[in-house]
Amino acid sequence: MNEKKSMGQRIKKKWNNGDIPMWLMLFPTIFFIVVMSIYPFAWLIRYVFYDYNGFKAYFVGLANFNRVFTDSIYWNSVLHTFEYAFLKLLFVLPLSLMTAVLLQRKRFGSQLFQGIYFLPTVISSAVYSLIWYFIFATYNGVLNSFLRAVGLINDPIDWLGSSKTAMIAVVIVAVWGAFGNYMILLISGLTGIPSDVYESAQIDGANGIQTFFKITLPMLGPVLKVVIMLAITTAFKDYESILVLTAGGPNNRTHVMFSYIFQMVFGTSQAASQLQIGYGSVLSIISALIVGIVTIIYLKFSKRMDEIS
Amino acid sequence: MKRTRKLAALGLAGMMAVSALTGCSSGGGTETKTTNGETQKGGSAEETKKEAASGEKVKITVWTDNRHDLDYMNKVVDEFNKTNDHIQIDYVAQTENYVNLLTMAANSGQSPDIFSQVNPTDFKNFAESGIIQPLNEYMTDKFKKVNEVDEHKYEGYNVQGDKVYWVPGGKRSGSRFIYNKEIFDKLGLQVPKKVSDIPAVSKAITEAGKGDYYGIIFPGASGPFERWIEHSAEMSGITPYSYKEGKFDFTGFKPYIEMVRQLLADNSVFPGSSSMKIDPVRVQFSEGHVGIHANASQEATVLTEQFPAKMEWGVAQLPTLDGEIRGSEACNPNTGWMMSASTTHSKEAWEVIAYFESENVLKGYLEGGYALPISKYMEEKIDKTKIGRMADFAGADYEAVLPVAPSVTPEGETYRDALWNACLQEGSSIDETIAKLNKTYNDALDKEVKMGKTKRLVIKDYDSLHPNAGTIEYLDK
Repeated sequence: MNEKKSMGQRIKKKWNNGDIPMWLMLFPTIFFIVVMSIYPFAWLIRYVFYDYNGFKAYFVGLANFNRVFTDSIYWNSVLHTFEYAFLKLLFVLPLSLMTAVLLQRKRFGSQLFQGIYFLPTVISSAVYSLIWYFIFATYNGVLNSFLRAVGLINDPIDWLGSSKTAMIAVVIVAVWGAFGNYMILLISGLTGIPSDVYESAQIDGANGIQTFFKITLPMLGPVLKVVIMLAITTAFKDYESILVLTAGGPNNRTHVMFSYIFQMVFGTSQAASQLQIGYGSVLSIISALIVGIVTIIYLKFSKRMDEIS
Repeated sequence: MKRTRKLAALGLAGMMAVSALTGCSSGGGTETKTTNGETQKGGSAEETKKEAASGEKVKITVWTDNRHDLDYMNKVVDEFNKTNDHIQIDYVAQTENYVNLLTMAANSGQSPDIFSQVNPTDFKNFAESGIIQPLNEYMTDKFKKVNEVDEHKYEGYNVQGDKVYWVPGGKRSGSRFIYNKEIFDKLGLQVPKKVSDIPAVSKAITEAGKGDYYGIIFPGASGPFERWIEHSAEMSGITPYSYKEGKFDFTGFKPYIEMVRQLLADNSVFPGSSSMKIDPVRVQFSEGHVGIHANASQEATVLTEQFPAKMEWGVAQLPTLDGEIRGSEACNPNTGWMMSASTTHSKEAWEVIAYFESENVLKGYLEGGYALPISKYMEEKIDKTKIGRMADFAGADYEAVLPVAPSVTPEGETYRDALWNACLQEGSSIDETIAKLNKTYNDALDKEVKMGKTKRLVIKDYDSLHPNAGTIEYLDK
């Protein structure tokens, strides 16, 4: 009886502390993480030792792991992923920071431009990639016509069909699709910087460039750290627009890790070949490790950014 | 106040959890929506009887990946739904990832009752994993007569042993050169008969076009190799699989790759071809910007209805290596329907298949130019004056359904991707590509035969001009 009472009291105490409501509120999220992330991951791990085409699984031991070492297309796709991520970050971060600084203050039209630049974030990447597919068209494409009209090129460029330009084309689409999102995050960071800091700098005679590098950038540190981390992880995981624009071609030139894995696990629209879910699972785990290592390295080197503010 | 907020939060959390759980608990078995709005599990034959006895129509769900015939099929389905007193067809056209959707639906017990046929690789998987069921016991004499079932049994295509899983009601022709007649007439050119003639003809067209039209076009992003190059090779007696030896051999494709490289080096290929999908290719041809395009009989309706050509166009047989036909070109049986092994309404599902492949429905289908007739019976029944440009693709006596080569999973690129990549100017070495494919495919074949995943097909007396006349052997080693 006493035990029951104490149990009841304990529950009441936990209820009043907010522990029980917290767990109850967390339950749906935890449930979905288990169902949508942990279970599929466990499912995936199961097949790394199998040749599995979605119908029947054949045990192959370590064959899937051995194959990784000789799969030149995969290792090239890893290099392409780094190239793609590097080029994307090289342009997307300065561009989003620049537009954020320009559009953060309430000026005529600043809200409109914020909306326009943010628009690609709310459009499906498959949809805007399809639009870009037509913009990049070699024969009578919008981009080639424009470049010819302004006298920059004489002959049309085969943007998506040439090994020399295909990666540049997919990076252009990636930058266009991403910078608006980071711009909004940075604007929210910029609004958190107290105005009296800028006023003091002005009194001390700091010019615009000095203000940007000595006040804006350092005080934006924590937000910038998160934005860069998001940009890195997203850049390493991008593949949707690549599948629409080039499907990894020409000659596998734009295959990144996850576009290659996607085609391995889900097949291509026209290839009547068997799915390779077991081998794709091994590649997924290796690719996840690569992205994880890159993120850890970044977090280690970006620790200083937290201390600045 | 604090207490009220906590209770409200608890209530919300509870609702979310319950909705999450209920959302995940649905599924597992087909669902049939009855007319009184209740949803029940697709159940036993007893339920079917009950439905029939109570006058309710049995719903038969049909999936298809064919979009070109959708207008006609919708009419046919409407007609059926209006006149049939015990079956209601729910006809659904799936746009993308058809096989994946079917597989997922089947694995989660939600397979449609009937679905349009799939390619040989998926057919093997579907049959061996019990997703589809044989139709032998349902077929009536009338059905067999109209569709000439016994003459159209293709092992690995629609049949496994004695079991017939789908019956073709029509076929798609092999590939043809589809050419801009006005350009050819204006320049006094002949459609190439030999593969080695293609670069010169394409170059002449491109030079005359001065940037307005080009010699030839490839759908680089929509299976360019199998679109016609592989078919031209078949007509030259070259196939990826050596039936006589029971192994893969890609050596014969070398002159084809060299030919495409020559075309690209001459700039005779429509700019941007290597990244073009099939529809933009069709548009450029129908606009008159291309001399030679190639595809199978589906182009008859595409170039007259979907993207009507703005100029006169002709159809010619594909060129071969020496100008002579040394092998049969593959054509594809189609217009067939598979029945789910898990359907609880197999009798009704068969009624729908029999209706889709009945003389009346097929007559309208074939006269509409959606497929070519495969049975002689239907060929005699249709009014050929109504089939329009489909007639240009009909009647090729050099076509046949080729024996299905073992489907293997090589460690590396598929041969179609690899051979097309070797065609590109910046592509890898032709000899290295071929050597690598020979190795990866034969290694995969040896391994998968050993594993029991597939069998080695050998036709010792294989004749490329009569591919189905030989003695087929399936070996375990």
